[in-house]
Amino acid sequence: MSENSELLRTLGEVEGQADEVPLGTTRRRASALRPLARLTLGSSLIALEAFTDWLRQLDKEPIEATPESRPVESVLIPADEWETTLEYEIRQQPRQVLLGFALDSQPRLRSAIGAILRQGDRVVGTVDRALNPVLSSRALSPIRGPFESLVERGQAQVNHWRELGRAEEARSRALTRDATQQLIDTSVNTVSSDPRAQEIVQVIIQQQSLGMLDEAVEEVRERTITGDMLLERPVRAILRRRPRESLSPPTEIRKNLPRPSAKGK
Amino acid sequence: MKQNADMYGYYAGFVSRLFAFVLDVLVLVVAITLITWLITFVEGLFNIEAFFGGNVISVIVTALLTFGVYIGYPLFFWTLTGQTPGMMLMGLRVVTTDGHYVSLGRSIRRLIGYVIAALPFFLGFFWILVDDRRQGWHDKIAGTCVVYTWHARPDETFFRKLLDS
Repeated sequence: MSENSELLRTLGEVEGQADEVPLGTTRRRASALRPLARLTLGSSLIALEAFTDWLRQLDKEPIEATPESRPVESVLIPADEWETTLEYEIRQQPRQVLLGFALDSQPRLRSAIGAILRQGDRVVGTVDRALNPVLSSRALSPIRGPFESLVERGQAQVNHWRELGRAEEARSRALTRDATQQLIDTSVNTVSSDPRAQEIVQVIIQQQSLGMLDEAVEEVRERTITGDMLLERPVRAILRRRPRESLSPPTEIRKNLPRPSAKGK
Repeated sequence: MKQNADMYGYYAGFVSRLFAFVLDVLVLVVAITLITWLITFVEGLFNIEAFFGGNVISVIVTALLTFGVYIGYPLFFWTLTGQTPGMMLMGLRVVTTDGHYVSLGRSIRRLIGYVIAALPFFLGFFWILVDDRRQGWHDKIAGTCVVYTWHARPDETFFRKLLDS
């Protein structure tokens, strides 16, 4: 509970800073849920933008051809030959047609919606022109006033929401940005001031360095063993010695030696 | 002995042992350089050269220490752990032919064997390439052999590349 209240308090503080974004209305003390909602909204907007940017970037990059999955019975056929077979064509066609349709249908759908909307406007215009004499007649004058008042109130409400949304978007972004910055600052401060955190970081760095050193040493060892085998092979062949592969292993030595660790060191 | 088999406890080959030897030589060169520098520093600090009318003392002390390091280094490590630092890094160990630790006596015999193996144009070391137990002359003299102390396996990609080339 105390952690939650601390989080809400911190968010409140951050939100106080974010409130510096002009809203055009009087500042009032926000409830604890408001900053959370703003934080969620800001995070979603920023994440969505980042995701869209990433997708755009990805779309610009050249696509590398990846090997397609093949049925088990076809793995012995070379890739070039497999791609000329009828079975390959039959397997590929439905998928390719569906993909082509999905990609091609997007602009077609968009233009169809545009055409429908244009036709709708035309119909509305025609109906409006046709009904105009009736709507402006004296017979309907008693209900025209309340109706127009209702429309005005509805429009005012929509305008209010639009203004609020515009202001809240900026405020949410500012809140998310400040909260992220404070979170990073706090984490860095914690790591740099807390001896336990420093110890953990040092252990992680040491483990990574040791891991890399281990890999390098193992690589050198493996290569020298390869050298052992390759150098010995022709020498033994020239001197007509039996190949090493046919010699029995030193079982007694292996029995008496202490076992190394599983990693091989 | 298959290429992908775990060669733990197998006799170590010529290249691995040569690598370990080169690493040990590097360690010794660094040690001797430090010792020489230290002696020169002490000599200059107490003006010993002027006292004896030459650098006789420093030459004698340096020679004795160098000789001591060259002799003491392998004896110390072979007897104590069966591995010099170079062998440790390469995952090798000197053991008796039945897989036990070598004694000081065997270590001394092995060191003398080094000299004997080096005399006929290092033929005693190249013997490792043809011997079934991969023993050099020094190993034969001391009754020792060198084995891999890790789950040794060759780098197959490197192996094929070398074979192809």
